[in-house]
Amino acid sequence: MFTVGNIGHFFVVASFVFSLVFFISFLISEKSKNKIEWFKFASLSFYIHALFVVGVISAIYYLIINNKFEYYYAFQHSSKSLPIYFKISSFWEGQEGSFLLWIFWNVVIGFVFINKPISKWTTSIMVVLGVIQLFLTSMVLGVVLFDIKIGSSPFILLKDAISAPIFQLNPSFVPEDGTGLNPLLQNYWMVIHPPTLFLGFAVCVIPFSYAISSLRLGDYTGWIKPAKKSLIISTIILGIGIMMGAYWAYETLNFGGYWNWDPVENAVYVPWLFLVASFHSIVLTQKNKDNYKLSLILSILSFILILYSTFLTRSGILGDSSVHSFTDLGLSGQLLLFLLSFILISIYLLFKRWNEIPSSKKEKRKYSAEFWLFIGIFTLLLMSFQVIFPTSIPVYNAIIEFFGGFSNIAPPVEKELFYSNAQIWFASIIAVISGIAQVLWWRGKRGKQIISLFSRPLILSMITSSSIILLYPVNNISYMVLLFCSCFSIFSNGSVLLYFFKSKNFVSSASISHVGLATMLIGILFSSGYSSIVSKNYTGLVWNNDFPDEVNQNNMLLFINENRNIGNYKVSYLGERKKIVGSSEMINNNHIEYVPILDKFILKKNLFLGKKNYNENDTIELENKNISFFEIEFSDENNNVFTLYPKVQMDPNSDMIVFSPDVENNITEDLYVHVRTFPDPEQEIIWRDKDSLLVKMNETFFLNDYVSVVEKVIRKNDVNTNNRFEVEISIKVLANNQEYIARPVYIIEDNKVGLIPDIIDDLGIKIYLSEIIPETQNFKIIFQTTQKNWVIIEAVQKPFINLLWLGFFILLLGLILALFKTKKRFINAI
Amino acid sequence: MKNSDAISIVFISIIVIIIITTFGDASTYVSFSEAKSMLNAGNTSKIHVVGKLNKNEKNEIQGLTNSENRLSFSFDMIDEKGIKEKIFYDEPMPFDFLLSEQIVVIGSYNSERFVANKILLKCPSKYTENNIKM
Repeated sequence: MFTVGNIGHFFVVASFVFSLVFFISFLISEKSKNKIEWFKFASLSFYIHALFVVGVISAIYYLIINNKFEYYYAFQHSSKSLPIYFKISSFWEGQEGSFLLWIFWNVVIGFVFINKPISKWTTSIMVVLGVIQLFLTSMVLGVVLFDIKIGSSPFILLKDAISAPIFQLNPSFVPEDGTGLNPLLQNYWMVIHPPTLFLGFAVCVIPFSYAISSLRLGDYTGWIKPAKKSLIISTIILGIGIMMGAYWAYETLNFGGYWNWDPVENAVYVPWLFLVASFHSIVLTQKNKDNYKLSLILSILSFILILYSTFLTRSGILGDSSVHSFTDLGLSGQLLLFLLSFILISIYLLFKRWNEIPSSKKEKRKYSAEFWLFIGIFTLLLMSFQVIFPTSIPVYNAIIEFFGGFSNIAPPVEKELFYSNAQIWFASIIAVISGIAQVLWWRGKRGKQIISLFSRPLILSMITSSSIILLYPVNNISYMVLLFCSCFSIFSNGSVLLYFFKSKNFVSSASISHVGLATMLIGILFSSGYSSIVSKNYTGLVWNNDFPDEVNQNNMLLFINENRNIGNYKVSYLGERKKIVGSSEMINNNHIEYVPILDKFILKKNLFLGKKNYNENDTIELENKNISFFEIEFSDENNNVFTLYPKVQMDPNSDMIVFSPDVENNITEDLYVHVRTFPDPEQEIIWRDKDSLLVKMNETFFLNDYVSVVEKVIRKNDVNTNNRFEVEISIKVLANNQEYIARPVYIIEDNKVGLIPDIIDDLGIKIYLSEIIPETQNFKIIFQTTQKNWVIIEAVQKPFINLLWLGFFILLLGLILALFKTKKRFINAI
Repeated sequence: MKNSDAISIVFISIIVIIIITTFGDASTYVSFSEAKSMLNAGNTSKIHVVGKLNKNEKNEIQGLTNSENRLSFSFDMIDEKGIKEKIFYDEPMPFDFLLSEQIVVIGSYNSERFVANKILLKCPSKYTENNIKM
């Protein structure tokens, strides 16, 4: 049977087998006399492995894109209505897909290396890569050997994965639709964030492989230069990946922040810090031909930590302490084996070579740049330890329980404060050292008085930070320290940049990165430390006694089209909107009508929207009918008007609601607005008493104070159905500077009268056509009113958050320049 | 004393400090009865309780009350020792709450009521047995 699933599974097994083949043949090529032949054979098997990996990925995409819901992976992660870009990202919603993403990037890296000139380094790196691919492909193998399940295959059929009773009745049952992608992940950042992060993971393999190869080959100098370059690349890519995740959290989740110290976040933060530490260590090694041991250990540990974080997030061990780790797929044993093998191999190689590795006993001068760089590296390590040690608490429990003990330690309750309060001090130290070390590195040997080098940055940072502290005002000691240290870093690194700018045609990329880091720290300090709620309830009213106090005090109730003040803004809620396919503009909820029989929306009136004309009764395709946008208009004191659209997504699969914010970006601060609550569409509306009116066609009348007119009468049923009479009238209601249309229907069938009312949500009005009086040509209209539409929002100011993003871009710029510099060395550098 | 020795001493002592503060600030996983006796002993620190939603034979969730407008809710949770307790939570129901196979509540007793400050969920891979919608 050649089904896509069978072929896909064959590809998986083949890619696993060929990773073994290319690993072994590269290994033989190292020792064999026919090096070149073996290398060629090994390369060929690598290419075959690569081809099969691409085959596996294509097969999964085939299942997802063609809605093959008889396969568990497609059923579980995709659905028919997903647009193509979310189908692409549904691939890596599951563990198997994200492993494959990692495997794919490793293949790309192998591709780069295999096409380099053949050398002992290339071969050895391919050996290491082979082991990694062997372990990674085993995770998606889905093979049972001696009652042990190895890996979880993405090609399992739904009926094998789920033992639902339907399969006993009908074994060939295929569900109509998949369960779809988690609404939180239906965001464009989720299309690009995971591939970036896994590319970062994959690039970390390079410095690790170089370090391992250095130990295997007993060559301790040849790896430094290429490893340094790859360390910079992995710092850049992993850094971008982390920041994308942070921005996604800021934009999608409504907890109001970009960083939550969740174990999953910590698990990538720590390897990144290690990458930075090993990069700095390797810079020292390159300059002084010293310090090889530390560079080796750190390059190895950075990758081991990535494996460790993979283990933490995928083995299910964090289940009790993390909000968004993967669930256990029964891979914990395999993951542990992967991790432990690499730890043991590394330890073995280090022990074997320890005495051979060159090292000097030379004491570092206290005022040398090297000394401070060294301190900086150790601070980074401590900074990482402070995060990874508590994050690993579930691991300690598991270990103690494995040995028959009992342990019930849980992570700290206020984890945000626990981590932030400690990290802020480490960050301050890093900022200061980055300044000192840079100045000494470039200018320390010029014979000048060292103190004089620092006097100007010191004075400037004191003046700047103290004026900010007094004016803002900053009133927390640790914030003051961080602010001062960051200013010092900016001014001292700035002094280096200025010095080079004046005297030579040279740029210190490190100084640029450090300025960027310090800018980020200031951005973090203000946006997190001084984020403030502007939607305080000053009205003295309690929105609802059932609400928690926090909601009644910190959130603002907005009735539709009524102005209220929030902070310095005049705010008005303009109503609920939907997004239409193929249009940049949104449409008012009141102008569309849902036709259940067709499962479609039609327009109630002619509309001009996004440079396009739409006619009454046109079918409108909504991007996602479960997503509502709440249009809220803000105008500030200078009458600058802007509109925000905080979003609410109701997920029918899980009966849950996701509230996502909308953000107004200003230079000095962000205004972050999200919906707290809105009228529950499922809740019954309480209508007031009925009122009635007698009106004529085209005659103006007042409907609850709104100018209205009956515009059209439409006989709806065809003539053939004699015992049914159905009429719809179209009433135009003018309110809030726009036209609303209500289309109530009057039916007589078998002498029974039926009335189908129409509701204009925005106006809180329900209209019936209750009688048609042919003699006087009158329509009798009955209407009922209710509370006007409303929404409760929270608005938060995030001061200087742009410094965080700006600082990050400066940091990246510096790193990219450093990459450029390692390629083409400047003569006058050092 | 050499510089490197001084650095090592500082380095190690900071590590020790980190370990001590971690365990100092760490919370504990307990059952409801242990949490009650902790409270009676005057210990008001926040604790973690692991448990499940209260479901009947038909797999329907019992004892769940959502406040009007869904801004807060309360539910019955059965801890690992089988003791049932009502949990009050002043936040909207978390995403995927009803599908969770395990719940961790972080909070404490506040005059006989268990008030959660945080809820962590362990969800099955979205849909489990017998749950295919037709």
